[in-house]
Amino acid sequence: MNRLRRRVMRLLRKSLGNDNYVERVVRKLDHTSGYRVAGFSRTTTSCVFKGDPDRRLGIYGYAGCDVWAIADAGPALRELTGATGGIFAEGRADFTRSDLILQGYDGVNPDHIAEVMERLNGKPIMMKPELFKKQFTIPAYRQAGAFDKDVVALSISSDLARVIYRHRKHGFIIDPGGFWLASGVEETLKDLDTVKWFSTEFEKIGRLSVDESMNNFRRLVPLVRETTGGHVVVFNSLTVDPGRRVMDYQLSHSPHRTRRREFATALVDLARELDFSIIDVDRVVKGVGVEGLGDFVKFTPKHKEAVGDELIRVLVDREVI
Amino acid sequence: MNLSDVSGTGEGPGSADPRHKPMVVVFDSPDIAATVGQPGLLEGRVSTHKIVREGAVRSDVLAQTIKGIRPPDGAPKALAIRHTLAADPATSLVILSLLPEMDAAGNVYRHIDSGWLVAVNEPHGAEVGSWLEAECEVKPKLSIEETSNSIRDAISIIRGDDRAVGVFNVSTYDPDDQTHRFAAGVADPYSVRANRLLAAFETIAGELGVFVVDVDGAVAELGAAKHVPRAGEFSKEAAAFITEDAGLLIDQSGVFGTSVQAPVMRVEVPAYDRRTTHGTLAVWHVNKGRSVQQGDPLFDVRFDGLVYRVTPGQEESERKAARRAARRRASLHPTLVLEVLAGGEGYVAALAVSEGDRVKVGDTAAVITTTTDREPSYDSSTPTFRLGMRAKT
Repeated sequence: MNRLRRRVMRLLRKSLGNDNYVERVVRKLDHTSGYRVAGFSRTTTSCVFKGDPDRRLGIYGYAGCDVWAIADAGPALRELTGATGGIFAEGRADFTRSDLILQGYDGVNPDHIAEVMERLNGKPIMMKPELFKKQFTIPAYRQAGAFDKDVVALSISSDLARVIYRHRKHGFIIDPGGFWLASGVEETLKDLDTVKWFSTEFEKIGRLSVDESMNNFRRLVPLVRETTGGHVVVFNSLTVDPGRRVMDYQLSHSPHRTRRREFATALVDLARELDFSIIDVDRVVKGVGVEGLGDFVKFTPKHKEAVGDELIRVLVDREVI
Repeated sequence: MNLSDVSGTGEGPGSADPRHKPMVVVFDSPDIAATVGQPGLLEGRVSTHKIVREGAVRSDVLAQTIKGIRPPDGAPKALAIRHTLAADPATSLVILSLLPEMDAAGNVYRHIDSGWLVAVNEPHGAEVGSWLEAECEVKPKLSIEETSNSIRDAISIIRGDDRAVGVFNVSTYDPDDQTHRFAAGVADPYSVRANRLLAAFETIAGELGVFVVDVDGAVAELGAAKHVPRAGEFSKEAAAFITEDAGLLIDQSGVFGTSVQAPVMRVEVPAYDRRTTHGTLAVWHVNKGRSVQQGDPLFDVRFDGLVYRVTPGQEESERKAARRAARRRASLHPTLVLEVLAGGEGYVAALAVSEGDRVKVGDTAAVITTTTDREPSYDSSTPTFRLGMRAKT
C-alpha cells in the first residue's frame, strides 16, 4: 500500500511539481488523522501526542536545523510523561542569529524595513520572532491547540555560521540569505536591480565574534526565561568536520572547527554564569559517529534520535519533566 | 625521568653528525604507541630514516629540555636531564601528542628556587624522594594559556630549521562525562578542557605550520561511544584508522623528499584526505624547463566527491552504507580542487601527465631536477619532491 502511495505521489510531483496542492492536502490529512486516530503524529520539525488532557507539555525550539532534533524526543516523552504534548522547532538558521533575535525583540521601525520586506519577499517572522510569546501552536497540528513553552531550546549554530548585513542609513541588520533562499536562485539572479539596490543600501558586517555572541546570549537567555516562563536549554555544536580531517594546518588559519570549539567552551562559561543546561550535541553526535553526515548541523535520524534522548535526560535531571 | 634513553645517539643536543642517517623523533605517548608506535610500522614506511623513540612528556618539560636548561646544583643524579633529539640538526620529522597535556599531572615537579621542572614517572629511591619533598613542589596541571605557551615554545624551536612536526590531537569524548550543568567554581570536565586545548592548539598549528593527526575526528567518524572505552583511549579498530591517517601525514610531510635532495625527484599526486584515491589533473601552472621556487603553484588536481573505499572483508551492507555516504558527500561537495605547491627549488624536467588526465594518488605527475642539463630517468624508487597544498574549494 505504501509503495503504491509513494508511486502515486511521485507521479503527481512529476506532473504538478513539488509541494503541489494534492500533496499538501494528503499531508494535512495524514497529520490530522494520525493525531486524531493514533494520538501521535510528527513531521520533521514538530511532534504532537495525546495523553492526560490535564497535563500539557510544550517544548519549543527557535534556531537552525540542529534544533529540529527536539521533535525526535516525542515518542519517548509520550511514554515517560503520559501527558499531552507538543514539540515544535520553529525558525531557520537565517533568522535566528542572536543579534537578529534581539533586534526583533527591541523592534525595528516598520517604515524602514517595508521596502526590504517587499523587495526581498520577506516573512514577518524574520523581523518579529515568535520566540518571546508565552505559547505556541504547531501549524501542521492546529487542532492540538496552543501549548505553553515549558521548555525553550536555543542554539549557537546560527551565530557560528551566518553572515549578515547592516543597513547603511538606518542601522538595522538582516540576513539576506534568508530572503533570497526563500525564492529560487534563477529568480534572484534575474532580479539584478534588487541585487544592485541591496549592495548600495547594505554593508556586510560578517560573522559574530565569540564575545559578541556570548554577550547576546547573556541578554537573550534571561529574556526568554522572563517572557515565556520556560526552562531554557542551549544546543552546542559538533566540533569535527565529517569526512574532512584537516591534516595540514600550515595554510589553514582559524578553520571553522576552531571557531566552533571556541564557541562551545565560551558557552560552558556562560552556562556557569546563567545556570542553563547545555545539550551537548558535540558529545552525542560524536558518540553515534559522524560518518555520512552532510555538515555539522544537519543530522540523520539516528543522530536526531540520540540528541532527542539527550534532551530528555537533561530535562529529567533538572526535574523539568 | 620522562625522556627515555635514545638508541645509538650522541651525547647531547646537536651532537649527531648531520652526515649520518637523518632521523624521525617520536614521543611515544599511549596514543602514538598504539598507532605509529607499533613495532616496525614506522620503520617499514620510512626506510630512509632512523627512527628514534623518546618517552611522552608534557610540553613545559619538553620546552625546557629542548632549550637545554640544566638542573640546579644538588639535584640527584637520577634526575639528571637526558637530552631530546627533537631539535637535533639531523632530525627531519618530530611526531608528538597532546595527550600528556590532558593527564592529571601529579608527576611534574618544580624546583622552588630555580623553577626547573622534572617529570618523575618511574619509581625512585629515597634520595630522590627526600630531595623532591624538600626542594620541589608538585606543578599541577597547566592552565590552557600555560599549555599553549609551552607548546608554542617547543614547536617553534623544533620547527626552527625547517623540521616537520606532526601532532596527534586528542579526542574530546569522555564516556564517563555527561555534564550539562556547569556549576561556578568547578573545574572543567575532560571534554571541555580538551576542546579548549584543541582550539588553542589549532591556532598555534596554523601559525607554525604543523601537520595534525586528527584523533578527535577519527574516533568521531567511527562512533566514539563504541571506540572510546575511557577518556584518552581508543579501540584497536580506531587505532588502525588513526594509523592510516598518520601514514598519510608522514607521506604528506614531504621531509623524505627534500631531506634527500636528490638530483632527480618525482612529484607525486597527493591525497587530500584518506578518502581521496583518484582525481583529475585540472590545470598545469608550470611548463617543462621552468624553474620553481618554494611556494610556486605546480598544478591543480580535482577530486570528485564520489570517492569511497571498499575494505576487503567488508559486509555488503557496509559497502552500501559507504557508497550512500559517498553519494551524500558528492552532492554536498561535488568537487574539491587542490592546488599543489612546490615545497622546494628545482627545474621542471618533465610533465608525466596532461591536463584532463585521470590520475591516481601516488602517481608521478612531474619530474623535478636540481640542474637544467639533466635528462631525467626515474622510477617508483626515485625520491619524491616536497609539496605544499591548498584547498581551492
